[in-house]
Amino acid sequence: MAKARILIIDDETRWAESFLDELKLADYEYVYQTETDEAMVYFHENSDKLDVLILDIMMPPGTTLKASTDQGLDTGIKLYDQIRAKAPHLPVIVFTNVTGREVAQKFLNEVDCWLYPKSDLLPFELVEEIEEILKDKRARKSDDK
Amino acid sequence: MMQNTTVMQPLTALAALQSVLENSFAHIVPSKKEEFERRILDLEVALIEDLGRQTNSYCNGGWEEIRDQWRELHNKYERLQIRRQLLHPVSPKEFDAAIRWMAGRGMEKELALLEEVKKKASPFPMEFSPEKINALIDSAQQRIRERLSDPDRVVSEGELTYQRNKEVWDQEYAGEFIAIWNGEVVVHDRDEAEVARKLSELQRHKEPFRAYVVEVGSPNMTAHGPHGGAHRMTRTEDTQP
Repeated sequence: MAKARILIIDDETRWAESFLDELKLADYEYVYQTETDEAMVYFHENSDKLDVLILDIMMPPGTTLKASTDQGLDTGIKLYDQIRAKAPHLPVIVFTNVTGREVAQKFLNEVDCWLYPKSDLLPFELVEEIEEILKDKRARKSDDK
Repeated sequence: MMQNTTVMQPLTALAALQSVLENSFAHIVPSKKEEFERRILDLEVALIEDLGRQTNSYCNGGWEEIRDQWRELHNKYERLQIRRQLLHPVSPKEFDAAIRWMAGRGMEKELALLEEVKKKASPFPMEFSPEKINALIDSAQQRIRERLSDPDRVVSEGELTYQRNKEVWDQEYAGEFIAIWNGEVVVHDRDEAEVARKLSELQRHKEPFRAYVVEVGSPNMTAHGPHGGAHRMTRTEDTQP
């Protein structure tokens, strides 16, 4: 059985390929979506089956977000709000090329949300971070019981 | 003296591979050279990622001491890879993603590269009209300019560059003020006012930029903006990289 089920929403396929290889090696089950609209349809239908969601900020906006994301440079910020409305406690990793203050302010105070600049981690290091996040989540769950 | 062959052999193999590849370029079909170079770069990035993981898994606990070197190496070649994807995209999706990458991580060189792309014909006219490309690139360039002129970034990166080159620059520019931009000393002079004047001159001829000015051997530093503005500071623990 896989360690956890992860949804990755990122249009940067080359980078994602390396990361997906690492996830496979580490025995995670994943679904990879590059299109915003399809990703959100998948998320709404499967949110209760996910253990972690990984989201890139800069994505093509798709049809639903078209007018509101500054040419797709803020797509992930809008998607994040929709994700949180549906799954308030799902661990979300915002994995991004954007490191500006605005992004930091948006995400740093969010609960169950981790912001990583892509340039800060090699693909295998992200897998290690996921392990830590899941371990922490499980520990908190058992404390609650 | 005995050589440690277990360490030397793989390192020698990589150097030998480079030499063979260089010789091989002369034998590649000219119309396929671009594709060949791209394939090599993809493999190099994948190799860095894989070797980074291998190094980490065999590490004696000192990964923290070398991880920045791996990241820097990875980032450097990833940047080259994306620049190539922008200039020679194989799909509309890749072209789109490359522009967005530039918006997020692009620097001075990428600003110029995006300008170049604007002037070229659309690589995918069906998906990207010239108007659509211009709008996307304008937004990306705006993000890059905002990032480049963020004083926090100018200070942290300027200081990091200075500390990396301190030994050499402290001798080479002893008693002078040096202006650092884009990893290099772009202006230097014994008179700070003269440095500011030369910087203004330079800024008029280039893309507007913010430079980091250090008085060599002193704790004083200044971030000089593109329109004559300057922010003075004294080096403290907070500003040390």
